[in-house]
Amino acid sequence: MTHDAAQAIRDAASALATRWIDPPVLQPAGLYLELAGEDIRARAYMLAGDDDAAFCLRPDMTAPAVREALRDGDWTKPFGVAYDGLVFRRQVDGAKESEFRQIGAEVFASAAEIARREADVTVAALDACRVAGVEPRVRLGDVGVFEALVEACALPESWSRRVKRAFSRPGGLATVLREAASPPAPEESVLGEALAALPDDRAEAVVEELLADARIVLVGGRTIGEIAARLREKGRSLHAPRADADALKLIADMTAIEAAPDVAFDALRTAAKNTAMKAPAPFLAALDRAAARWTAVARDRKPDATFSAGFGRGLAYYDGFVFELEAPTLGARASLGGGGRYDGLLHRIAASQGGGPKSPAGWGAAGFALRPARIAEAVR
Amino acid sequence: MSTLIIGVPSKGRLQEQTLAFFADCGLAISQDGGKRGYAARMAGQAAVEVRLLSAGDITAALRDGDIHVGVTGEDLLRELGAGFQRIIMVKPLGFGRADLVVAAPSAWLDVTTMADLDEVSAAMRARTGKRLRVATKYLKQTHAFLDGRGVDDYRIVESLGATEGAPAAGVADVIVDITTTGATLSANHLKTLSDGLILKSQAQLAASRAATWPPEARAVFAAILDQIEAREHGRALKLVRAAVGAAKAEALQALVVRMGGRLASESEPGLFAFYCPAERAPEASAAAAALGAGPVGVFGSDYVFERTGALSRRFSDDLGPE
Repeated sequence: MTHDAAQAIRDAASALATRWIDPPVLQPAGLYLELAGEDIRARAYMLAGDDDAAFCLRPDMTAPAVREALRDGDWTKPFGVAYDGLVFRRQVDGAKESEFRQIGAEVFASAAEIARREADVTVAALDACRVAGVEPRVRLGDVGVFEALVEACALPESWSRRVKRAFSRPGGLATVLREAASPPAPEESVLGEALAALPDDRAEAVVEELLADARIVLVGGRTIGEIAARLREKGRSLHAPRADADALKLIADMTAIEAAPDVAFDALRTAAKNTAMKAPAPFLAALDRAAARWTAVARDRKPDATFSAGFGRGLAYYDGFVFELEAPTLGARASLGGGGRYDGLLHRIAASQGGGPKSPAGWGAAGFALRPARIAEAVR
Repeated sequence: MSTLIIGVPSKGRLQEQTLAFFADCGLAISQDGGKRGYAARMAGQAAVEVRLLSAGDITAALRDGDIHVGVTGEDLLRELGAGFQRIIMVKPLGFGRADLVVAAPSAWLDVTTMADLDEVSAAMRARTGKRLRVATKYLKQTHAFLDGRGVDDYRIVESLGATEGAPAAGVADVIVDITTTGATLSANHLKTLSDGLILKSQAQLAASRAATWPPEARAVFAAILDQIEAREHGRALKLVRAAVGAAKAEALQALVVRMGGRLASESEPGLFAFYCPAERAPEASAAAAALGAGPVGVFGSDYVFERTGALSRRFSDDLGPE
């Protein structure tokens, strides 16, 4: 019964939160466009305000909850907020519900304290499902483990960046691997090579003079210094090392591992012995943290679970552990909700609101949100 | 009640070219209420109502099925997104040509390709937390194109006025817009990226699947398409008359085939007329003259009609059964 599912989630959210909030349904569209990119236009209902696309109907509760917390929280001691409300999503990719209820909680504390509470957040969501009468399957991932994996392979900087960015795109890693296997001919840049031989300030002066002679006015949001620096980088990259194909292959193989958490952690530890992994220590440390977190969750509960270092979540909010709870009997509508750690999102929203006295510098954030209607459906 | 409603651009160069096109096809459009009227008739087509609308309104009216047929830019049609499924592009008209392109500041000497733009946008976001700002009126095509090129650290700034001025005004970094010569881009200190061509656009004679198409409407439009096609064939073909004599009949028929032409008639034994692609008419005529005794005449044709036009048949297939 819907009421029971909702009540179970509300109880779980209450346990994490210090107060209930009721964020506005209308949220600034610009915030979501900055956070989630242009794809959000296809997923959220955008409303024309006086300016272009000034508002959207909230497509989730996390970002609105963070905005409320930044505005009203005191940010001197750890706190949590809980919410219960409708979110609105356009019906793309076969999604059935254009509006549905989400109940959840977000907790804020120092990064170190949040790390200790990650297991609590997972447990809260898991137990809410159990109280409501559903035994969910848990899908785990950890963006931090993935980032540590890329770092450990010590790729050239530009390849490291590309691999990390590809992570959140469907098929992105495969694309990067293909590109690495058949590298495009390095673009000839006579200007870049010439500039690379000059000291920084001289290179900038040359570019400035070139533009002045050609009567080109600088428009757009980059400085001459940035343009000169990138020209020099291009010039140098003609002789730069290429990405190690073995390392890229290792990254692809390791992110493809998906198994029961303890099995997956062991497989990843074994794979880390590959010589393509130049500096495995930070990766192994990140893996240990993920394993310890899971042990804390699973100790008394022993849920059906899988871990995948390639499991990232679509909204690109999360930058640490992530989890999703599923009811396999519901097929395409299996997701009951999920959550994770999102320090980066907290700081991006804080920066977009102009910081102010309640700066959350050094703080972290984690939370969960569940869909009571789906849980009720799974109970039936 | 008109059987077929056609939307025609109401202003500017696109209107001039559209009216000239129909007039050339013998389908001259005359405005009822003088120059300022917004309804018009088409010569020889009593069942047609012509509505003069802006290209943007024609596009929307095609999407909504408020008109059967319209002339508008392919760039606008494709911007309908999912609504483009409701459009049949019946015939490209060869005018109103323009390219939809990605243009970056000329001063960005390090940026010449989409891959450069991808790297620069990622670096901007990493450094400032802000996405590359792309000014455009073409939201859907921009999104689809950048997405397909793996660029995702960007944000669209919807522009309503002069898009090319957005970077100079400080509200965007790059733009996606229509250009013909590139002169306006250079004047605004912008350049196109080498692989930044999104669409080669031109004016299209387009039909709406969303409109209701009773048999009478299909028949009227088919007749118009047949006339357009006949005019096109008329321009492309010359009629060659050659008196080669009955003895050379086979040789002439072989010549016609070789020239990509078609025999039209043999009005009396040995006097042939055939259609020949205009550009090969002199060569074919000289060869025909060499075959026979009599003179060879070459004539222009206004229209060449077929029993069933390929254009109208293809439209009928695209629209589906009645």
